[in-house]
Amino acid sequence: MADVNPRSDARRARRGSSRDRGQLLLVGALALAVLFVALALLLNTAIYTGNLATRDAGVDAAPAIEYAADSRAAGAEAVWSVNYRNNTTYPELNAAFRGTVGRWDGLATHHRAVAGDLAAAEVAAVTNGTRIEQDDAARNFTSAGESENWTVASGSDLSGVRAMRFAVDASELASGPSDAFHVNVTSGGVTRSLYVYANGGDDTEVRVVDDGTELASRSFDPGADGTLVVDVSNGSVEGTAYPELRTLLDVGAGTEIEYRYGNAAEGTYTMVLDEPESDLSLPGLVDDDSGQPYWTPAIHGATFEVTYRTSELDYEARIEVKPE
Amino acid sequence: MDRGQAHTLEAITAAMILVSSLVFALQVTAVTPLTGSTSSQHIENQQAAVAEGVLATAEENGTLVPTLLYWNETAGNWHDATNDGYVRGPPPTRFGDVLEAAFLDRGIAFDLTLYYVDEDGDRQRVPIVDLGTPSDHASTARRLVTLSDGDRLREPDESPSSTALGDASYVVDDSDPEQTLYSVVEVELVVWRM
Repeated sequence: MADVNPRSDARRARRGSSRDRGQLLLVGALALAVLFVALALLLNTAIYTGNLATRDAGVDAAPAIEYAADSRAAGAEAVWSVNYRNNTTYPELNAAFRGTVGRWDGLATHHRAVAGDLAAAEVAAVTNGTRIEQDDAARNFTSAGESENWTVASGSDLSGVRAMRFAVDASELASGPSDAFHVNVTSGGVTRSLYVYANGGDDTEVRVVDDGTELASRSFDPGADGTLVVDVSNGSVEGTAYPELRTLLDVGAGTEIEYRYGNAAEGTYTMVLDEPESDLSLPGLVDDDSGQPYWTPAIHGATFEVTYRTSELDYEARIEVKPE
Repeated sequence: MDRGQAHTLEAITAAMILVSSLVFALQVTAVTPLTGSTSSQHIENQQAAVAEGVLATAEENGTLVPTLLYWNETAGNWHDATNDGYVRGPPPTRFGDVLEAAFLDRGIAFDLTLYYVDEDGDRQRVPIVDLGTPSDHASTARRLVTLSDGDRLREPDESPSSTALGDASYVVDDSDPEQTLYSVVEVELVVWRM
C-alpha cells in the first residue's frame, strides 16, 4: 500500500512523495464514486421493486365485460323498438333489428377503437315470436268473439313467454275469488294460475296458485288512477316486488295460456311468445288493431356474438338478448 | 511497486465506474415515470380505480345519464356553463355532487368529457367539466353510454323536462332516426392530484 505519511520517509524526494499522495487521493475519490453509484443502484432497485409491486399485474377484463353488458342492454332496447315500430312482417322486423344493432355497434366500436381496443357485437340469430296485445283499456278480457273462458295461445313448441303485463281497472274486478278473472298457464300437465279480484276493501288481491296449491296471495292498493299494473315477467305489482309471479312463466314445450272469467276484468295486457304465429293456435285473437285483442309478429329474442380484443385480451362470448 | 498497485486499483475502479454508470443508465429509464413527480404509481392506481368506480356506480344508479342530459336547448350549452363547460367545479347534479365528494374535496382535480361520433363519422369532444390540463400522472376512466329517443332533457333543478331527446336540439345528433336508439357516447373522466 502507498505511504500516506510523508514525514515517516523524510529522505524521499519531495516531488515524488506529493505525486504519490495526489494519485492516492484520486484513487480514493474514484472508490467513493463507485460507492455512491452502488448506493444509487441499490436505492434505484428498491424504488423499481416498489414500482413493480404496485403495477397492475392482471389483465384488465372489465372493458370486455362492460361491452358485453352494454350490447345486451342495447339489444334489448332494439328488440323493444322494432317490435313497436316495424311489427308488420318477420323480414322487416329482422332487417330493422339488424340495422339498429349495426348502428349501435358502429358507434360503440368507434369509441372503443380510440382506446386501442377492437370490439364488435354481431347478431348471430333472431327468434321470431308473436306479440299478443289488447290496447283498449275500456274493454274486458274476453276473446275477440266475446268468450269469457278462452284459450289465448297454445302450441306444441311454445316454450317461452316474456313481457307478460296486465293493467287492470280495479273497479271492474270480481268481488271474490270464486268467479274471479284468472290466467291459467299449463305446461307439462302442471297448471299455474294468477287470480286478480277485489278483496272487499279498496285493495285488490293478487293470488298465485301452483297446481292447486296457493303459492302467495297479497293485496295491493291500485293507487289514485284506479289501475293495477301486474308485471308477471318482472315479478312486481304496482312497482312492488312480487317474485312468486315469475313461477307462472316457468314453462316448457307445449304451453297453453287460458283466460277464465274474462268478463270479470277490464284493461290492457301484452305478452310476447317465442313462436311465430304460424306455429301457434290463437283462436280468440284477430290480426289487426281494431280494439279487439290481437296478435302481431314480434321478435322474441336474439343471440349476439360479442368479440373484444385488446393487446393482452381476446374475449369472445355468445350472449342472449331477451327483454323482460 | 506502490505506484503500480495504485495504477491497478485505479484501472479497476475506472472500469467499475464505467460498468456501473452503464447499468445505472439502463436501470434509471425504468423508473422515469416516477422520478419527476410527487405522485406514485400506487396513488395513480388508486385514483384510476376510484374514477372507474365512480363512473360505474353513476351508470348503475342512473345518475350519469341525467348529467349528460343537463342541457339548455336555448343556450345550446349545459345549464349555466361556460363554452368550455363547467370550469369552477362539477355541475349541480347528483353525479356532480358525487364527483365533488370523491375528488375535489380530497384535492384531486378532474375533467369530464363527452365524446360522440358526428354525421361524418368523426369523433368530437364536448367538455362538461374542465378544471385544467391534466398532469402527466393523470388516470383515465371511460364508459360507453347509450342514449334513447325517449330520454328527457333535464331542467336546471335536474327534473325531467317535457322535451324528449328525439325532438330536442342536443349537442349530439340522432344517429338512428328510425328506431329508439339515439346515439352512443363515451364519457371520459380524467383525474389527477393537484
